[in-house]
Amino acid sequence: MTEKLRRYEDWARACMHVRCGLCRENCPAYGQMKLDSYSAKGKVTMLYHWLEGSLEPSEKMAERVFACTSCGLCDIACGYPQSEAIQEMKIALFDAGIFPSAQYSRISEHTRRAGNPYGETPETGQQLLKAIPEASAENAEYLLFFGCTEIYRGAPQRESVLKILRSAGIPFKTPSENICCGSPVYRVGDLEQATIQAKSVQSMVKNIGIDQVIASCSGCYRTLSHDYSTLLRTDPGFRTIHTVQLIDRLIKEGTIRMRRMNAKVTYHDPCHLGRHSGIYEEPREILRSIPGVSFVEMEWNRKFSRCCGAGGGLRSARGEDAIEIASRRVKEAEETGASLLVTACPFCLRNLEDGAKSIGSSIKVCAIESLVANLIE
Amino acid sequence: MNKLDKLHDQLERIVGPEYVTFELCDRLVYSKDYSIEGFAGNYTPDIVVKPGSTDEVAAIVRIAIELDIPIYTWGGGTSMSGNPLAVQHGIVLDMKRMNRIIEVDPENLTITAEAGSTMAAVQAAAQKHGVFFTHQPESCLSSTIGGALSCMGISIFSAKYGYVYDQALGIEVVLGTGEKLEIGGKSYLSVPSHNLLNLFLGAEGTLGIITKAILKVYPIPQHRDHLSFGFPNITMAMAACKRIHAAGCWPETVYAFDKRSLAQYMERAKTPIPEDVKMAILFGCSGDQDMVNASMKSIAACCTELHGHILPDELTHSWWNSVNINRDTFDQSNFALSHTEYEPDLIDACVPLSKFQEYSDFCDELKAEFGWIDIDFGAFIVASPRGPIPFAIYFSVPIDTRLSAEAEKWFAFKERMYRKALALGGSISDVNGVGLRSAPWIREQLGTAWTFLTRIKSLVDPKNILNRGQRGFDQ
Ligand SMILES: Cc1cc2nc3c(=O)[nH]c(=O)nc-3n(C[C@H](O)[C@H](O)[C@H](O)COP(=O)(O)OP(=O)(O)OC[C@H]3O[C@@H](n4cnc5c(N)ncnc54)[C@H](O)[C@@H]3O)c2cc1C
Ligand code: SF4
Ligand code: SF4
Repeated sequence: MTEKLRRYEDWARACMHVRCGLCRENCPAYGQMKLDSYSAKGKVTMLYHWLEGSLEPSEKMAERVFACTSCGLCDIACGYPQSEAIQEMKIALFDAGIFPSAQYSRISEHTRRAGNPYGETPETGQQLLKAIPEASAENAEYLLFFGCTEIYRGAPQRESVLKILRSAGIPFKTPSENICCGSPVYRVGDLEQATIQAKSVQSMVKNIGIDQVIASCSGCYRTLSHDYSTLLRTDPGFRTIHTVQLIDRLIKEGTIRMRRMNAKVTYHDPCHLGRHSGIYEEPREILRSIPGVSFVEMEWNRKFSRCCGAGGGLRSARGEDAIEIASRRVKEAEETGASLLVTACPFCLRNLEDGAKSIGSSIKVCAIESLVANLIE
Repeated sequence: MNKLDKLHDQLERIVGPEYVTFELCDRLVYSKDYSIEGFAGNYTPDIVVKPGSTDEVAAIVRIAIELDIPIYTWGGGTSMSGNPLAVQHGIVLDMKRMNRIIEVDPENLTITAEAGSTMAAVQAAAQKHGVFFTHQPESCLSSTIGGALSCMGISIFSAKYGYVYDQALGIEVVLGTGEKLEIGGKSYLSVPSHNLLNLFLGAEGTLGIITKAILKVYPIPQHRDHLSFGFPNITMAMAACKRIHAAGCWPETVYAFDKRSLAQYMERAKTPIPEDVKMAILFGCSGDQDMVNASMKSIAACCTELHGHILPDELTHSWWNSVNINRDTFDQSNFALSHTEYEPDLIDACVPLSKFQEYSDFCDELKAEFGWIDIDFGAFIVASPRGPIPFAIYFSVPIDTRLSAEAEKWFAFKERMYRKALALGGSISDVNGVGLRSAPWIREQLGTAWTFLTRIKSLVDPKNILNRGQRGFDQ
């Protein structure tokens, strides 16, 4: 069971040597669950003892490991990308059938059964996608890939993205079937199903015959652009860009112009887009280019940005904890004096909205695409 | 019901079930600190508890007395000498939940915080109110006020502001009897009788559990600048520091590293180090720009006078970045990356200033005698708290603990080094605590004062509940 984990033995030993704990205070899982074992230091300690044979994996251990939102903030502190080792621990635990709760395994069951992590009837998604006029577009240059959250939980964002692309005259097509990118199952350790999803998306894109994909979900974006080469063990054969990259370009080219909006605005970097993919400047450039906007940073931003708490299956499995983590991020946003908290991921958006609601915050949480779409002249 | 079950029950009643754990996967996190000692024995506690208030701490101590179970107090667990390890298992008392900043008082230049607050949090709170909390060890993001006050640590700003214990004006402490004491206060001179603070500062949790501290803060200096110089040997480097002192400069940072240590700190930045550097010193000055400029000029002149040569700006910047680890710079830490192959441990003894070179030469000879030919050790010299003149030299010894004989060799090597320090008129420990590493030689150094110390221990901790088996007590 520990065969693949051996790759991380050196990292675990380095951690056992220094015990610096620099990964602890900013870890969303530690911040919420309060025990050191929830931090990367804790999980890497478990990995070390697991490999040494002095700790048998258990449900309790899985509870700690699976609480990792995969935010990657510990990697910045450590120097070793320990979140990668933690991801591998999830896979090993999944393969051994050791889960903290049914809530985690449900993500995998739903995807295996219905093709999406929410367990929604796939026909609903299919109908919705087929109804988009661009589903039958021809001679398109871009394929707009909608993720499951946008399809089943994020109608406004979906419509906003469509509005922006249409008004900028981008030649794009949308797929007519919903295939989950595989991110949710991958993050709960189901490598097998994640690979199946990756293969399905790859062949769908190939059949459509377009090699430039646009994603507005940061989770999909990271998975398509970074994880597919690992999952497929080869280049997926297409290039993916995130909507913020496209919108930024369209604004700079003068293709998109926006009306004035007098507001103080702050931005939450989705972990998948910022830390994992290095896309920090484009969303900020977009916000700064809106006439009347005064852009302010939260204390923890860019690669130091704190996680909203939704990732790694935490929102699905431990919703209350995820929302409480989000509420702390919302409080940080409030401290800037901003009236608008903007983000670039439908998953972060939902969690931050719920976080704001849970503490009665007056800050408005909004997707960058929706903001732009509303202001387009 | 057995004793541990009873303990579990009672602890849950005191702090609530979510703050007590019996799980092995939780307990293992507390079984090792930086030191090799942590690998050499099994120090896994039986139970971990996280109190939320001083009253809860006192209640836990009373339960521990009743059941005769030792308590090991943990802050960030970043100590380097095996100090918080649960020698006799029992309870780990994790203080990190007690992390409230109680008051920042810029007018009186004080900050009051609970002992589980991290240094970084205390610094940030001070900064928000326009004042500067100066204790910033490289571990400041994770180590706590209680841990720092218990370990006598140094900070990157120590040369100007002193040790962490120089920052303490008052503490609240729970004794091994469960009683609560408050010593000192907000006034800068608050010692109505003997300075009882000193009993608990640096005691590494063996005499009481610090629950709250009133600390000094300073006006924020507006500018900060750095320079670094290479020297042919330690003697010259030390002479330059004395010369700088005579010149009237009062830098805030004076760190001297040998080449091996520098390389360790350049692990992330990969900044090249000039070939001929034997001992290098990083100087940092702060204040108004004209003062900083004048100090830097004077430091440069003093170093040049004593055969120092200025090191490239790139190296100076990387060096400063690698030791200035805080909330917005923690991506610069080299610790994990530079400690993969081997487990580092420290020879943490203090010798008189004039013996630094001799002690370092002895270390080199002994290293060869032990057959460690291909391994470089690192030497560190730090200044605090009397301006630019260094006070401590210590060595980092990289050991491959996967080879069982190596750890044994390390213990033998350490003994020879400590005996040499005593023979040179030195002392057992300086900046990294006593803990398990240095404990075996404490009695020898203290002589009759040891008996006196054990009497104090039995007064404040009659049942020997606090960090039992640590620091040479009851061995
Ligand atoms: C990466 C790294 C860098 C470091 N850099 C520095 C540096 O620059 N300067 C420096 O001085 N040190 C440094 N250290 C050593 C260490 O960080 C310090 O000694 C620190 O002050 C320990 O604090 P802690 O909260 O982690 O204490 P712990 O390790 O948890 O405990 C240390 C000791 O204090 C006791 N203790 C803890 N809390 C309390 C309390 N509330 N009441 C009573 N006793 C208590 C414990 O029982 C133990 O004996 C470094 C360590 C690491 C791993
Ligand atoms: S990836 Fe994020 S949640 Fe996971 S251990 Fe690291 S800091 Fe914590
Ligand atoms: S930052 Fe890395 S080495 Fe340090 S405690 Fe965390 S995982 Fe371990």
